[in-house]
Amino acid sequence: MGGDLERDLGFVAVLTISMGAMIGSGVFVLPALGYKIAGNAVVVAYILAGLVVLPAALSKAEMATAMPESGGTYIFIDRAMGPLVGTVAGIGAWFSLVFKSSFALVGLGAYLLLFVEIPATLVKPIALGLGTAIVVLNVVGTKQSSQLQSVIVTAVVATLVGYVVNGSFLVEAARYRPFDVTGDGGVVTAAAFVFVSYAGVTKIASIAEEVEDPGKNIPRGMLASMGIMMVVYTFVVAVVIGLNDPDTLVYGGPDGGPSLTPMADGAAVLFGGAGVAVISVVAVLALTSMANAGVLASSRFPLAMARDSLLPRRLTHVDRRFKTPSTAIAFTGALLLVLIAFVPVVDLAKLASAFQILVFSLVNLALVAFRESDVPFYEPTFRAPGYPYVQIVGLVGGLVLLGQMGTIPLLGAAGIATGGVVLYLVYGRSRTERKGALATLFGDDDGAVQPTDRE
Amino acid sequence: MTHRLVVPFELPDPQPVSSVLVEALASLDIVVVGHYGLPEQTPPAVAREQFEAEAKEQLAAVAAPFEAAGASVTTRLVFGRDRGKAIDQIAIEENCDGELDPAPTDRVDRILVPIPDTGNIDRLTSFVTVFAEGHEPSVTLLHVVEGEETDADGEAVVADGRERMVDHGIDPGTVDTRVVTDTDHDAVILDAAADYDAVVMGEATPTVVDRIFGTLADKIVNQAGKPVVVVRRNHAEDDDGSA
Repeated sequence: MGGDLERDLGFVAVLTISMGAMIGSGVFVLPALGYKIAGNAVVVAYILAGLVVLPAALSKAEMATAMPESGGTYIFIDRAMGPLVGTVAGIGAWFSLVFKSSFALVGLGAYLLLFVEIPATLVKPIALGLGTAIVVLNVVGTKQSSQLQSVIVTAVVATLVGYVVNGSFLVEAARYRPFDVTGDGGVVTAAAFVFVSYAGVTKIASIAEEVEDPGKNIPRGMLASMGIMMVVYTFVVAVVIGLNDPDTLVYGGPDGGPSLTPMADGAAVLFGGAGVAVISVVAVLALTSMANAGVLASSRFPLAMARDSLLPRRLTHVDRRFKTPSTAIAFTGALLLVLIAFVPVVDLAKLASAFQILVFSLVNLALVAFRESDVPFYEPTFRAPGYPYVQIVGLVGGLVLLGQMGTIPLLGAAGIATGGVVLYLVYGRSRTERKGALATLFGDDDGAVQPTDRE
Repeated sequence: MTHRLVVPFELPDPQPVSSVLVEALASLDIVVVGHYGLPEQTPPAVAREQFEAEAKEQLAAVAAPFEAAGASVTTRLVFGRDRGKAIDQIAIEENCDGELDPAPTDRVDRILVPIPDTGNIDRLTSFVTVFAEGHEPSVTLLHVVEGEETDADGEAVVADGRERMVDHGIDPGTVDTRVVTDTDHDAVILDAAADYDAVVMGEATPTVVDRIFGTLADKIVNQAGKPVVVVRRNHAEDDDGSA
């Protein structure tokens, strides 16, 4: 009863939700950090990162049409490869989104400082305050407003287009020459670093059960939003490089680090001199929306895992008064605030990307597991083209990026994987008998795989 | 001819429909729709798992008076966000041609029926006739003459409406007609509604202004405090192609 009635998101809603989840730190905060690593070749890094994300997006689109359940990414990997890998993926996806939201909030604080006269040391306290406000908002519950979301996305995209068109007349061509790697890393390292800019495509998979005609709207929405964002990133980052003195980008941030407000730095010459104000306001708008969407979407991971008995059942509790899964949101919010308070800003971004690469690699593997094992419930209405080559490229690409990221992100990814395994052994294993589709490949036909084991 | 009416309830803790109104509506087939509104933070399936049993119980309690009054009753329960869209979709699925916009009332003796010069007049008049069955209220057909129209045109509209209702089988003695010439169609009806117990009207093509400030039916419920039955436009087979 009621099944299809709960689907009320069309193509435009899917596209704007996906773009709204992506537009944010990738364009407003990360360009200078990427520039420090790869010099002006950071433009190529954005395209490279997008190309490595693409196979995972296609895999996800296919699996989302077969399992349109909230908790997307986690559900796919769990049903494909069983609860052990599922726990690792769920925790990884959850942490990645929370790291990304923390990073967006710190960037938000930095942009706020540009039009409010307060000392720079207050960036973190401001981020903590905004974070708390967003968590409270999510616990109390917000009305779905795809109209408001469309307005924000449209305003941000319009500003970005204005920035590019206006800025392209003012850029200094010399800053693109020589067009090669002039930073302290390489293009591949920079690509790994900005990988998280595309993590927003996850959002569609998480809300797949609310999408109308999912076989059409999910893949189209995902691919269209990725395509648009690749173009947006390329042009905006190119203009950021052309407008700014390299020293401002690399040393203009807090404590002489890379600038956290690269789009505003050279913007004084734009929009009739009102550039800094316009860009800062739009950045604050976009980053708030991103942090909010991040808290909302990430709380779905512990929720879905708890429904599968991989985390305490209490996390699925829906509050009577607010009608929100308040425990899962509060738990996510607490992690968010701890991360902002104690993790250095550059590491937030690196770890968010590292976890995301890990999860996206698992997503590609999950599709392979489903296609090869041919479990009866797996009937996607959209089939990703180019299988299995696309998935292999995505997997190898992801591993190459991960290998280029340096010690902290690698340790972080290894740590999250180990943590997931330990959590499963200590908590989940004794509480679930579910097996992944993969198990059937090895002749293990007991415990027949089901998309859900809770109905 | 039977007519099916959507009676929406907001869950949890639905407001019951006034008992006189339940009696008056019992000649129609009733589709009771419970909508459990959720914020965007909550996946519908999770809320359904936790609240379905209680919601079903509450919905059964508000549906029971309709059954007791002799109506044929269908119940539907939805967990979701967009209430209007869900109700609309159920109305189509359940083949309903009317929707109740409830307001508390202590009698249903005088019914106002604003009648336009276009749209599905036959469905509206047939609906009113079936609605009047059993409790025989007095019915006033009201047409507002606007723009190029003459008073004679207006008289023709209400006379035609009355004739159709008599053909559908209403007691001719209970139907009177009124024609008003004015530039503000909605204000006339909103004003007139104050003197009646309930309004039965056709669904207008929604305009941008309606979307922002609410439809005429919403205004009658909110400002005049009278229950309104909106007879839906025919989505599939509309003759004037407005669907």
